[in-house]
Amino acid sequence: MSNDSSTRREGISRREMVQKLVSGASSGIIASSIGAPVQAETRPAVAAVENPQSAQPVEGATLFLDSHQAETLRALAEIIIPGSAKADVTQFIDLLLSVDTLENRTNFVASISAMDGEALRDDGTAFTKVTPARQLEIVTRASESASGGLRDHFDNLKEWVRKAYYSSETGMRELGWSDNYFYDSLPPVDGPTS
Amino acid sequence: MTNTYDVLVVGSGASGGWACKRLAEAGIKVAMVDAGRPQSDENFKDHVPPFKLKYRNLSPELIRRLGRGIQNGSVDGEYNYDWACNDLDEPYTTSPGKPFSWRGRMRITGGRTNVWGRHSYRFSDLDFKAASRDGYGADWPLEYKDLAPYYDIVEEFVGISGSAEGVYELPDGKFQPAMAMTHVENLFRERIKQKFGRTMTQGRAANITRELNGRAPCHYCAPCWHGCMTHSAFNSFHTTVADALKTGKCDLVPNAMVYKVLMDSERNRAKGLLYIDRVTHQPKEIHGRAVVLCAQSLESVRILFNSATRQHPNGLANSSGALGHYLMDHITGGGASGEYPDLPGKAVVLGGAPHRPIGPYVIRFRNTHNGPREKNYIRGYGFQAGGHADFNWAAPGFGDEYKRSLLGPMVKMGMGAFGECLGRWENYVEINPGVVDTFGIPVLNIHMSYGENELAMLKDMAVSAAEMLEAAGAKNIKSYANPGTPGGAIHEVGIARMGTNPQTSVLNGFQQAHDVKNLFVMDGAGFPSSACQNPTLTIMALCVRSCDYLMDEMRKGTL
Repeated sequence: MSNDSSTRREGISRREMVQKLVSGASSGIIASSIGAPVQAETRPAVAAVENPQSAQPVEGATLFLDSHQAETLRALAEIIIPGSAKADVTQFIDLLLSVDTLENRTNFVASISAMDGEALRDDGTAFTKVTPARQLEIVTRASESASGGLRDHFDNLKEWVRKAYYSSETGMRELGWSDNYFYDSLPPVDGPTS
Repeated sequence: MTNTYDVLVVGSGASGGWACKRLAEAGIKVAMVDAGRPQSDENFKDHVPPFKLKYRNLSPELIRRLGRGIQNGSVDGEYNYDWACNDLDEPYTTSPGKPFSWRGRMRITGGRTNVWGRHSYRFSDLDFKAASRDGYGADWPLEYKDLAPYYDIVEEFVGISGSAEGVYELPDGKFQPAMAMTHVENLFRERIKQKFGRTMTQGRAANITRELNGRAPCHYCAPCWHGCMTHSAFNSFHTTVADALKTGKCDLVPNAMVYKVLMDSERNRAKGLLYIDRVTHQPKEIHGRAVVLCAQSLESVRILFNSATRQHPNGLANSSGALGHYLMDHITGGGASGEYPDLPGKAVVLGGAPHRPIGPYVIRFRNTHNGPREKNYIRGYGFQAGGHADFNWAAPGFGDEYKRSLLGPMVKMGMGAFGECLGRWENYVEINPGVVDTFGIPVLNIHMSYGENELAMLKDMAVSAAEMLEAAGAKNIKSYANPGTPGGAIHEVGIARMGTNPQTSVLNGFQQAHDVKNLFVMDGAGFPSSACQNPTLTIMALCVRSCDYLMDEMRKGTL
C-alpha cells in the first residue's frame, strides 16, 4: 500500500486536492438561492447526539448501570478482552445501554447477574469479591458451557465487550487503524489480499 | 428575486441535477425546487473513525428515537442520519400484512446521490423489449440504440470505472480504468467462467479512477456514503447541481416541500408549484412555463395525486388510470457466502489500508438473450459480490488468546442478488386522505408485495450462488433465500409508466405526460419494467434524452 506522503500524482497531491476542495466548498457551490441555508432540525433530543460534549457523565458515574454492575462489568471485560479498562469499555457500554431498548438492557443486566450468581452459589459472595483466579474459572466455565443458559450470557457479554473495545481508538489501532485514509491504489494482486 | 421561470425542476438528485444542468447550460431559466437543505463538504465524515462519534454509530435504537428508524440503512446512523427525513414527521401508510420500507427519503441537496451505492449498469434490449420476448407486461417505448448516446454522455460526465466484457445482457460503456479485484475474486471469476460460462466483472462504479473535471480520483478510503471530500464518488451536489448553479440561470429553492402542481385549467397546462417551506411551514407558490418532477418515483407520484383538480379528478395526468400502479422494487435476500480457510490474507480496517468502494458484479445469466428459458420464472437477476479477508470475529474463547485468534484472517466470498420485480397492477400507491405529514401534505398509502415470479427467482438465487461458490472451491458454504421487505432495495420505479398508448400509460417515451404537455416526470417513475440492474444510470440517461426533447419542444413553441 502507498500513502499520500510517499506518492504524488502529477501536479497535485491528494492532500492538496482536499485542501483546495475544502477551502472552496463554502463558496460558489450555491451560486444563488432563494432563502438562506437552514440547519438540520433543532430538537433537544438531537443536541445530545450532535454535541458530544453535552451530557457527559461525571468521571466514574454511570448513566444506566449501578455501581455494583459497573464494577462487575469492569472485572469481566478485562478478562474477556484484556485492555478493556484502559479503553474505557465499561463507560462506553453504559453509555450505549442508556439509550438502548428495554429488551437489550434487560438481557445485559441478566448476563451480569448470571456471573454474579455463579460466584454467589460457589463462593458465597459477589463476583467482584472472589479472587482473580476464581473469576477466571467462572468465565472459563461460562465460555465452555453448552449453549443456552450461562453460555448465552457469556456470549452476550463477549459481544458487547468486543464491540466496545474494537470500536475504541485503542482497539482500532490494534486492528491496524493509523488515521491514514489516502491511498493511490489498491494492493497489487500478486497474492491473496483483502 | 423573480418567482417566474422557464422550467421548474423538483428535486436535486440523479435526475433533478441533470435536468437543471442541461436546461440551464442551454440558457433556460430554471428553478431547482428541492425538499432539502443545501449540502456542504463540511457535512462529510468520510475520514471520521467511529470512536469520534459519541455512540460510535453503535446505537440503532438512538437513531430510531431520532425518527430515522426506517431511513437508517439508506443513511448511516450517527454519521448522517440528519440527511434524511424524519419518519415521524413525514409518515406514510401501508396496507395490513404488506409492509413497505420507504427509505432513501433524503432532505439535502443531491438527494439519494449522497448515499447511493454507485453501481452503474446499462440496460439492454433484453430489458427494453422484455415484454415482446416473454409476453409479460409492457415494452419500453424506446430501444437501446435510442438511449445509447445518452448513456455515453452520462458515463463520460459522471465518471464510471469498469471493464468491457462484451456481454449482451450488460452493454459495455465509456469507462475509466476499473479498480482491481482481490485474489479470491479473481479466482472466483476464472472458475465460474470455466465451469458455467458466467461473467463476474469488477462493479461499474460511479467512483472515478482518473481526474475528471476538477474531481480527484478515488483514494480508497471507502465510506462514500458518509460524503467524499475529494468528490471522487459521484454526487449531484458537487457536479450537475454545481454546474447548473454556476450558469447563473438556475436558482436553488431549498427546504421546499412540493405539495402540488398548479394548473391553468382553461389551457390544461401546468403553471407552477405550490410548496410548503420546511422551516416556516408557510405555503408559497412559484411559477414556470414547464414543470419537471424529479423528486424520486414515490414523491413525484404523490405530488401528481395531490394535484388532482376537477379536470383531473384521479390525480394529474391520470386519464389512463395507470398512475400509481405497477410499483416495482428489486427482490433481494437471496445469495450465499463461503470461506477459503487455506487462502492467506490480511484483514484491514478503514483508515488503515486501502478499501475499494464497491465489489464485483455477476452479470445476469438466467433467461438470457440466447440462453434457455427457466421453467419457474421469467426475467433474471445479477449478484453484487465481494471477496476479502476478514477478522475472525467468531473465534471462540476470550482473553489474549481470543485477541490473537481474531487477528488471524479468514478469507471469505459472498454475494447477494438483485432480481427483476414484475410490474403488477395490484402493487400500487394512492393518497391516504386521512393522514397528512407535518407540513399538512396528504401522505401515500403503499400496497406492495412480491409475487410468485420474484419468490421463485429468490430460491434460484440461493441455489446458483452456492453452486458457483462450490465450483470455486469455497468451504462452509451458507446460502439464504429470505425475501427482503419491498422497498428495501431502494430502487422503486414504475408508478407513472411510459408507453405509446395514452390509455394505458402516463408518460410518453420522453417522459412527457400524455395529458399535460408541459409536465414531465424524469425520475424512475416512468420505467415500464425494472430490469435487474441498478436503475440510476438509466434514470440519468433517460433524463438527459428527455431534456433534449423538452428543449426542442420549447424551440418549436409547443411548450
